[in-house]
Amino acid sequence: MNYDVVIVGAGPAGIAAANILVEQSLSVLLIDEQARAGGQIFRQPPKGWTVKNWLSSKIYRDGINELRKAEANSLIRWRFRTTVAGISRVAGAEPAFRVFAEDANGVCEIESRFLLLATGCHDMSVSFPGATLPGVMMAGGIQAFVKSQQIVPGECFVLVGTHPLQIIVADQILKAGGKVAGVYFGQPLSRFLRAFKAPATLFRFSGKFLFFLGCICRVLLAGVGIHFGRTVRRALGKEALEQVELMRLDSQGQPTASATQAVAADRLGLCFSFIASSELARQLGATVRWSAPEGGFLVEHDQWMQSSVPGLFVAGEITAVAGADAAMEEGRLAAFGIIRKKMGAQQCTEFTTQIDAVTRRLQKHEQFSTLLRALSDPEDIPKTLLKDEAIVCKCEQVSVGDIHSMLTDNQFVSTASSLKLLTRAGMGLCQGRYCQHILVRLIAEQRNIPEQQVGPYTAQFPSKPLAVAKILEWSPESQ
Amino acid sequence: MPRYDVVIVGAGVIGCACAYYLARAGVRVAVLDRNQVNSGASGRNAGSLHFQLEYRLIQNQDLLDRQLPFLLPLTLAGIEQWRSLPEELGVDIGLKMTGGLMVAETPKQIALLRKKSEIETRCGLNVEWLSGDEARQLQPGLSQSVQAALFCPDEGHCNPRLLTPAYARQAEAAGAKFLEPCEVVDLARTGGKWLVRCRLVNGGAEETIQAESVVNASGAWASELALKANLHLPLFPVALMMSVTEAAPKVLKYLVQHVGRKLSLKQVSDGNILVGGGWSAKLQTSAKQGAGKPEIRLDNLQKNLAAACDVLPAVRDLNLIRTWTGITGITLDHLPVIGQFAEAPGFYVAAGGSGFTYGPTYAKLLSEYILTNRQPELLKPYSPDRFSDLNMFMGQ
Repeated sequence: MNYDVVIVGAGPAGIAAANILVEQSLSVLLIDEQARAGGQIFRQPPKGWTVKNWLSSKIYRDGINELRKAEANSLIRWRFRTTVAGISRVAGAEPAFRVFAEDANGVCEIESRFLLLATGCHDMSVSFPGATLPGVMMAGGIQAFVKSQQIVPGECFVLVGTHPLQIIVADQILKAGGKVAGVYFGQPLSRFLRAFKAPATLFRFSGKFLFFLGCICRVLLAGVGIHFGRTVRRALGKEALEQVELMRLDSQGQPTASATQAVAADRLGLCFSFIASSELARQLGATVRWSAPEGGFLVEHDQWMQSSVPGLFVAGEITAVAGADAAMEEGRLAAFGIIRKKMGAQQCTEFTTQIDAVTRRLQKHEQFSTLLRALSDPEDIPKTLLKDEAIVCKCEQVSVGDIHSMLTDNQFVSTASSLKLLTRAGMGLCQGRYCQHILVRLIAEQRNIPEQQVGPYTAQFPSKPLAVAKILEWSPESQ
Repeated sequence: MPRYDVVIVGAGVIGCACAYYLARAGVRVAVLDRNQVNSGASGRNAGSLHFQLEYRLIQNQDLLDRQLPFLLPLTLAGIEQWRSLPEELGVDIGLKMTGGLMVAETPKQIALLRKKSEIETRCGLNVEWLSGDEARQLQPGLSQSVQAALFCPDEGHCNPRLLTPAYARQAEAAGAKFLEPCEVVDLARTGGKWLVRCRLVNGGAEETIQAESVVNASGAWASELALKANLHLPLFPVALMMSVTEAAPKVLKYLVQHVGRKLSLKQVSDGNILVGGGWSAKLQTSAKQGAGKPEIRLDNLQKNLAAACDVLPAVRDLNLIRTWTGITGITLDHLPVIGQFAEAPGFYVAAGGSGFTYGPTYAKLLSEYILTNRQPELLKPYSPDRFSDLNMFMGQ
């Protein structure tokens, strides 16, 4: 199997890129772990199912149009329920890649001249006492159930975080028939009111703003309290979550002396921030930069979305978490970047108008994402939650206290990879996806060095656990 | 200018252990590395403690004849040192010296194992011959394909994640100084002293350190560092792969190796099974300066896992969670190079050749050499003098 372009991730960035690439007669394969295209934001119901009013708001219209266009395009090849375990570069004159992918049938190798990684992001995991109790979930995980299949994964929900998404999730839970006991923002209300200091941006994005106001109204009308300056202190329960203990935070995000409050719930959804899924790009050696509010370690790229690895393009959240609209524009830009690299700059003058339009829209969306980040950045709240007994690496059961004492006893350790080796944090089934962010921040704080210097965990093969039997059955010749 | 008695370049097991043995004897030691403590081969190898004769020695009669008189005392010294290490370092290093099996699956392999057993028994190494059934009785779960095995009760494994940091902490406690990550720019000897010019990795500031002696413990990059001291050291980088499965129920009690296939198997206390044995990854051509992670060779990974499943079928039902690479160094004669360069007094090296199993021993012996200025008997076959033809026009 050999393609001009393999795109990993069939979310907004991936499908927008594919739509442009096939128009220029490039052969394109889109790979995604899910059963259908759309990514997290446009997560579709299973084929043949209908969900009433599925993403009916106008704010989703452009994205869904793009999605339908891609799905209707017979030139695009797809591989769903497929995980990319690893990617290697093929030495030679042309930049070329070998993608090692796994699906239910086994593993296979796919060759590609260019690669576009549009692998998105995942919820930021936070650690606090009780965070490993069954019933503590990520808001994105809850949303995945509700959005595509109207499954309400629990009886009574509490949402805690700093990101406005939790209001949307609360609204979706209520619409699907679930109960929400409260929505708690760590930051003070004044942080949100700052938005009104940017009236031009609000006006430009009035559609999104009105949609969000609609969610707030429905949540409030349902009798659900939306609270500010409060966050989770502990999750309590015998075998599973029974109560969420909340504490008050001051405007700096520090706990205040006032009494804690316990709310009964069997599900806690955490919604602080999002972490770029940059591990495949890092496996290939692409340069990353650290930015906590934008999603941790982000893949650096040039104006054509090409990373430091020649031929490897990136788009969407792995370059900075900025939402679906920005991701689609980045996907388009990456597509033009790939076309330009394949055909030569001179052959691409016909696209100038389109590229200018993409760039303009991208700048516009960046205004919105900058504003959203300013309102929702959890800043130091995730660190405030950490208590020595909190588990930072759930896979290997490494606690915050373990990390602190390891750093104290081993003064010569100052990188995430080195601490991983010493403590096993990040060595488990999730490959460090969930603990890396907080661990990097812990090291940076204790060593008083920038996070960039701490660096990410070395991204190893395979990106997700891979059955030994499948590797044994693989026959490279038959590809 | 900072002054030390000994500057050690390379914070792997040999460098950190050397720092410990020297600092404990009152020597002022500094350790420098361009990366972190234990970030190279010392922390990336599979952690086998293999004391049975290696395949290449059985195959090469000439090498074997030259090596045998030295090998047994070194092996015995190594075994004794390992047994005392947890107490000496005062911390859990994941040491399990419960024994190791070397298995054979074919008549040809059995013949080879037989020959090995004879040599080992003759020179006094503690090994026991087992039939396939006896091996399976000792280590349930071994496949029916195993037809014979040689058991060495002193073998086992130690956790490479823990050994080197334990040495480093003890070295630090004894007064050794671990410098900020920095790389050596130049090495020169003037007025009987070594000047080590180095550059901080973060920030780029340069500094010169003075030392009576320099220890080159930079593993696969020992040759590159030697050249900075105007010396040739023919040691070549080799990239190897290691793999680990998800945690599994306790099945493996022993280190398992293979006499005719590249394979090592062990289970760590957390339940994960480590699969290694010396399958190569692809070195990057730009591997200079430690950059460029070697590329995993999936064909070799497949062969490695196939060998593992043939010997221990339970591996087939597990998930692989990680495959990683490490770069080790080998010499032309496969022997380590340990000692002082005649062409550059005060410039010591310890690199190459079973650096994990024998790392602590090499470091202890080299420390004795530095402290007494007399070459320990056991190090004689490993002296860099055997490359002196190359250094006729080199040196300090």
